[in-house]
Amino acid sequence: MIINRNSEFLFGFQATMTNPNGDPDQENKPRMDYDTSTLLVSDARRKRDCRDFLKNKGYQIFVDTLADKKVPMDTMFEYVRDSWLGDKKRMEQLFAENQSLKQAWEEMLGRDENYKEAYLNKLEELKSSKKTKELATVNNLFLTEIIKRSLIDIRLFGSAMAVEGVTRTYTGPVQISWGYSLHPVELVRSSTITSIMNEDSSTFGKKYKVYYALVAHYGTMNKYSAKLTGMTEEDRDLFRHALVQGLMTNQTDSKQGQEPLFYLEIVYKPEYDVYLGDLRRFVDVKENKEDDASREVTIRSLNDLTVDFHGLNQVITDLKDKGYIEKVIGWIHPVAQEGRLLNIPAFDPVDLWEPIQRGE
Amino acid sequence: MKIFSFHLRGKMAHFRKYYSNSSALSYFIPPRTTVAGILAGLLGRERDTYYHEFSLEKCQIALATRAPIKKCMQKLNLLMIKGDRDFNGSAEYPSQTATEFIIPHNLQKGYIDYQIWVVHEDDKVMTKLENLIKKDFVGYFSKGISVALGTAYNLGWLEKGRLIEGKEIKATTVVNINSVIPQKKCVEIVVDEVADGQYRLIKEEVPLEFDKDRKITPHGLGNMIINLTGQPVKVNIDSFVCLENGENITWME
Repeated sequence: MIINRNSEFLFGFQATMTNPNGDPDQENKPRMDYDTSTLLVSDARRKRDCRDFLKNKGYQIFVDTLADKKVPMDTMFEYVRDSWLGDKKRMEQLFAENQSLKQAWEEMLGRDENYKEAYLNKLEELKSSKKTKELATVNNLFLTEIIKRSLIDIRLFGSAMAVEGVTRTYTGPVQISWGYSLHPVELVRSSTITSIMNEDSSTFGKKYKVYYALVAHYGTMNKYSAKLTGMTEEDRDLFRHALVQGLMTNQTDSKQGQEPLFYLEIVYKPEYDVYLGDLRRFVDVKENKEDDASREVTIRSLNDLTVDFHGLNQVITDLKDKGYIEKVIGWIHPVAQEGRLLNIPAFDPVDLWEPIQRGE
Repeated sequence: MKIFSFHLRGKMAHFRKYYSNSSALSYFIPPRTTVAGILAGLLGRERDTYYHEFSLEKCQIALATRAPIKKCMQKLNLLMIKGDRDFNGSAEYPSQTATEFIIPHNLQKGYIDYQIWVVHEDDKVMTKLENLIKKDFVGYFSKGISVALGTAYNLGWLEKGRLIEGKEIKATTVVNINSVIPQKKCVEIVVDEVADGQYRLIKEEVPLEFDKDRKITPHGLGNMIINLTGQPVKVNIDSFVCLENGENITWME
């Protein structure tokens, strides 16, 4: 079922002696606003983690390779198209669910139940007379429909699509803002490493890391955009798991030391079109100065911070009183439960560590 | 006249300059066309269908920066699209694009804050906006988009919507203007008594209006004078709107 509720989420993770997101133009140094020593992490980094994770679990994704080879978009489309055309049951279901497609198809290609043959023959015929544009209406409906149904990352994050006769941009129902550290961050001072090439020669390189950063992303899920890309409730559940587990399974050298800390999502009732906007503004982060206020705090772990969700708690209570909220769901990493995250709003726990079902 | 006023806020913004090529530069303010897009998206209008509804003739928009902002450059790995075949990253190398973001002066504690004033000739649009951005609510309602500052992932929010009274004044006067100022209305910037740090003025040419094919109309571009500190600017100006709270604004046109 396509999602019919808006929701907003807050995702926090910690990064210890790692580089959450390098800037390719700055020797791959962590992205930073140096004026305020704030670490930045792009939305694309989170989406890539999700895509990689889902792909490893057997889901077909769009921004991807076919049999480990990067292929042009139209090859990818042909592959998806042929796998649908060859499956009579799936085609029949598709027609049952999309009457305008069925109508356009029958007008153009007749009622032949050998869909693949009918389609490919017609395509050949039109190609030889250079009239492939005539297939545009069917293509438009058919291709966008099967692409949405086949590729989970398009359903979640949207895409610009362009194939013969089809040019459409879909804004993703899931939008993730850039993350930023909720406190000043320090780069590890020495970044030089030695790599030994062989017994006689070695080389010096640079590897930039931060000591510690608590980073938060804010995001929205939009029921109106979901109608256009076909994002289902099942997709939403997969996304939540992919966000948390994708970060953990990304264990290349520069990404080791990242852990998801919390995921909170406010799910609104279907009849309300409401958003609070950036939830991070309701979270207050303080450095623990302990007894000596003059001591300069160097933040090296979650123990050096107090994260207070008091403000978020208040607005959620207010919205619940107004009747807008259906539920708040959440997940907290066991390491974060030791009193460093204060006043977390009450939530229905979901186990985002639970293994997900493999895709087809 | 009745004017609808509200705030557009967020952490990061990117308002793509239409003439940028290899680097994706950003305006300091959402152009009038972007504000129209946000309003149309909020009302649930479909992509590319609302340009006439929010034309210069039917809708007046003014905008002010209410918090200090700055720019920050980040390189992004993007796909270089020169044809149908380039959409999925099959090109050997992605295009590394310098991308300019607008961020608050203090990224951790601060927010970008634009105040926007709108008058639409259709009362129904005004009433709907009033119902979507309410006075005493910390968020907003939307029949379509999740509000973003430019690019879809630069999520933000709207708040503090209210109707206020304003009076159009057409006479060359020296006044403090709180909004961005179209250069063509401005006779002179008065700088006789400027306090330290009051002004960081820049001039930007921003799109104001599209036709139905997304082409800029003959009056669709305008030079705007913007004070990046968010403070009012004293100018000698030929027309402006005086609001009931004593502030003065100028329509982007």
